[in-house]
Amino acid sequence: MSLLTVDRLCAGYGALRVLHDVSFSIEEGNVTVVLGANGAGKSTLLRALSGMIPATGSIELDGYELLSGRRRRPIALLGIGHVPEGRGTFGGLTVEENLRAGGYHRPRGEVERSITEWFELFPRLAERRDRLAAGLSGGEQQMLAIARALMARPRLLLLDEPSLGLAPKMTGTLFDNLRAIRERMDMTVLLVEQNAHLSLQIADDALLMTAGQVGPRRPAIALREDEQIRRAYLGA
Amino acid sequence: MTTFFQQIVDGLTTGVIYAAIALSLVLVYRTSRLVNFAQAEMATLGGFLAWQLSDWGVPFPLAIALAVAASFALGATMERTVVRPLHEAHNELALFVISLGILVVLINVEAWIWGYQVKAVPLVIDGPAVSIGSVLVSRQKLVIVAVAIVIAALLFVLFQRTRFGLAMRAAADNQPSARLLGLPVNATMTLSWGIAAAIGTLMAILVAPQQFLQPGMLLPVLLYAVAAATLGGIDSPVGAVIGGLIVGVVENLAGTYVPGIGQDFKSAVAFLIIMGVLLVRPQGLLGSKSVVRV
Repeated sequence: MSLLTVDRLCAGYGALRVLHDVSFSIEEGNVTVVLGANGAGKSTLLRALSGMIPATGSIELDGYELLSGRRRRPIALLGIGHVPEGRGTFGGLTVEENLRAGGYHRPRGEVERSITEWFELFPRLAERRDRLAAGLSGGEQQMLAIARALMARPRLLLLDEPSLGLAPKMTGTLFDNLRAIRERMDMTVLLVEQNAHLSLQIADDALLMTAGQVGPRRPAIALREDEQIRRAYLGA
Repeated sequence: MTTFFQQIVDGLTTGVIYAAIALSLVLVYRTSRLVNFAQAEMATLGGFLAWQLSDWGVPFPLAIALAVAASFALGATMERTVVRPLHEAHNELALFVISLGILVVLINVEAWIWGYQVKAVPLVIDGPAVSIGSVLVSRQKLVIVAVAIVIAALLFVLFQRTRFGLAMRAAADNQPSARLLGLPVNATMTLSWGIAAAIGTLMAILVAPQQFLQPGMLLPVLLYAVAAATLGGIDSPVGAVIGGLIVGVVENLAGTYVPGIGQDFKSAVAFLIIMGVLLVRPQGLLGSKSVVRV
């Protein structure tokens, strides 16, 4: 079943239009990766979905139209979590406070339980719970940003270039962690990622993006085998 | 030696006032990235309100409460109407010019309504000065110190112990992220402006008997408060308090002990502090570096 259906979505920055009539849907419970060259509009797509930039067309989350006339509610309340490019952790807040901010709209008891769960899953964060987020390594900050977004229990998680700026080894750990999270909870993810090799391993579906337009959805496994894709994105 | 301690205590009691206004500046800066030069004049306006109400026969404590509440509303309204659209358009220069504009307009409005003749604001507490060892402190100053401590404690509880305070800190730290998480960013901004204005007015009323209530009463204090906030780190509430106390003490000691400065030139000390700090440590004692990069 489709959780998110996007129809004729257009968005951009001021007079510059980046997305041109983008239409696609993603399946509930799946990880869908968006592949595309720099400047294809991948990050813009995520920003439009989460309402950071104005957009026209239609974005339906589980049958609920996000772009309807009335003023938009915060996306976190609509069930979308967005981990932006560059992570966006609160550097001046502690690790635990970052997580609490993520669970702002949930009851206190649930927040406590979730924090305990995250600390069990990622002992590195637990050890640093009272440290300022600014003092964490890039990989730790990325995990914190993802955990913070998931604290709100979103139906759909938008992940923008999680491996950006990470050393190859850290990137490997990050994707291992993402797998570990998937085993723990049902989540639907729309992932934008430069590292096609790793993301096609974790993804169920893939979308190819070129010059502000999105091609048909294909199974990730088919793309891993595709000779053209291998040459364009996997450097093989 | 008695003179020395007396100067320290005088410096601290004056520094508390700088600290309070610096705290107002910091609260506003954290949310709107604006050093609001109208902050001190908004406080003076609150002082006039309290005097006017009291002059009409309202009991003084009630007059203080009403003036503080009105200032809260005025600060919050300013954020919602004038400041937020410019902040969202990232128009820092326009914001700065508007804060200067509000400063000038307020001075003129006050002068138009109440004139330049000094208004006699009552003390909240009267009686002989209290001696602590060999040092003398007036009762009113002790009240000011006590009120400042209560304000600092309340703000600490708000920031560190409440959910909304967490949202305030998160929004000040990274506004786009705070919005993505659905934190009430706009409410934190409005409330910050309201709290800042309320603190300013409370302090203005308490210092009015000694500073003489007239338009522009707190402009000299504003200078020191900007110095204090810069010294402490313009985005750090704790820094503002520490900065205020340091500026108060240093200014007093310099005026007394450094030959040639005296009481007339000691305000230059505030600017020397600003310049010195900005050269050596641009982010201030406790400020965050990222602020400087913006």
